[in-house]
Amino acid sequence: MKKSLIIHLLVLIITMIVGWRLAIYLRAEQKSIDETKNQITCTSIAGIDKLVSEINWMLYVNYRGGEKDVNDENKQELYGRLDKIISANPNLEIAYTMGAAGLYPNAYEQSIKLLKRGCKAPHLSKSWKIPYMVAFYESQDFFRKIPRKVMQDSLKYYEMAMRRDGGRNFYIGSNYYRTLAKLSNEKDKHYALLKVLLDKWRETKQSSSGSAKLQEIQKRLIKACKDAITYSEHPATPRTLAFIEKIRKTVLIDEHVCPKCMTKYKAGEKFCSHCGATVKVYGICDKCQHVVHGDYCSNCGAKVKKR
Amino acid sequence: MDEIIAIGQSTWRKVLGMRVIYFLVFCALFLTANMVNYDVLSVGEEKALFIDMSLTVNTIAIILIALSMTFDIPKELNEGAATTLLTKPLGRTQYLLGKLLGGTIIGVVFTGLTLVGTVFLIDILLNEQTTTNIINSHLLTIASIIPMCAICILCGITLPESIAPFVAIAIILIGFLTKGLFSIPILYGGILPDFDLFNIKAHASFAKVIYPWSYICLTTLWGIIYSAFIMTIASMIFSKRDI
Repeated sequence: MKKSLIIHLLVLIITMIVGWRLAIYLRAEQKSIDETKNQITCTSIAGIDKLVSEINWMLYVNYRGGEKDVNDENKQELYGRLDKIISANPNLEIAYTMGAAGLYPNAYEQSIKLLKRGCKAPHLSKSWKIPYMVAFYESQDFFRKIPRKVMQDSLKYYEMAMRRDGGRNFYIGSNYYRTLAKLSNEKDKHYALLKVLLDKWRETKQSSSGSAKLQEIQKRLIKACKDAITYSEHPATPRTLAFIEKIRKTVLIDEHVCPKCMTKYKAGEKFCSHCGATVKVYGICDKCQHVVHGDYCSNCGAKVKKR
Repeated sequence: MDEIIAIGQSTWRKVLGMRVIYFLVFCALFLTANMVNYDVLSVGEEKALFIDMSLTVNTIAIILIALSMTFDIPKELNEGAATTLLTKPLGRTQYLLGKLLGGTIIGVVFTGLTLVGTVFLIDILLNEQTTTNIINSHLLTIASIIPMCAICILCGITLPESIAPFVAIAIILIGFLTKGLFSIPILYGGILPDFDLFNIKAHASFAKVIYPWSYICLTTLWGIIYSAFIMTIASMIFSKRDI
């Protein structure tokens, strides 16, 4: 056998084995770096799937813009187009949020299905908008009567949205507690919400899950009390007013809120700036009645008594 | 080594001397830059569109440059240019390696210019800094030229000019799908290529996962080893071929 042929065969075998071992190592390495690669690279032909999905998204926007409304004739077509987009690029958040918003409320099932898929998208695990939209669509009965089971399902998505958001958006929690109130079968909306919040406050206080959470619920309770008192369309019933009083004496005992309208007032104020009611003055010097900020009065120098 | 560089030089000088190449780089960058105009139609997704377009343009350029080898080698063999070269004290293996080097240099220059242009455009048009993921995705795309060129050279010397590009493109496309053969020893990564190793494009516009330099270097090394395997087969066939 010729020398060059032996060398060629030797190189062939070595490169084949080394190439195989290295490729296996790299495949494992790729998986360890990002486990979701196979999910986000759906059709890996030359890696242009993302661009294809973005172009399809623009075509969808163009198509949706040309449609007057969503109806039985075009809802499958619209969902099909969105499905194609997110199949190629499951991380295109806008396709879920705007896509679902475009389908809702006429293609209700499709919009929920789309959003629920978005909740599972590998790189959108920090997006609170998608679970919030699922929960909102499942719990708000503006357009249809929502079955109780569906409303219960929405709670799971509200919790997911709150977890992902980390408490930055107050309204996610507001809608969550309102849905809990709706599920309580209580006809008086104000009373139901206050009861849900008070129960949550007690639960939080017992579980000692942090003062921040307790403060947040207290803030919500003040707002709910204020809404119940000031909401003119459905004025608070005597039962609700009695319940508010109970909340004020138990939960909000250390909070300086107006007994009439539940507006917070500052140190030294004698009347509520919102309703004009007389409020219990706090944070003033016993000697000269000046507002104090520290251990001593800045006006007369007297030591402030701790209460 | 000098012979390989000489053959390579003749290949890249011929192509890089053509002004149309630079016009194509300009066109590629113009196409990429144009994506910022789709801000309304894409509802604010123009940045992702921009990045993905730059990567796609580079991928297509790489495949086309590699495919040009399937035309270049049969043409040189038919015109007798290769025969003239091979009558000189020059081995056939060196000729093939020179072609691989030439093709690789053309790819690196073309896509390198596109990468530099993209970085520049991201800074100017998007007012953002280029992320490591964008650079890494481009670098791996550029590195994929080595095994792709080797495959095209093998097709160029074994098949007729009219069939070679189609077979080469088929192998390249199959190469992106072989990850399913992961469990088959030797065949996966040894005989069949896995171009998906070079594909981290989905991460370019997500800064969530960053591929380390060790991965980039080892994938390039795999490309070189796989090219050596293909070039050895090509050399064995070419040495038996009657020119």
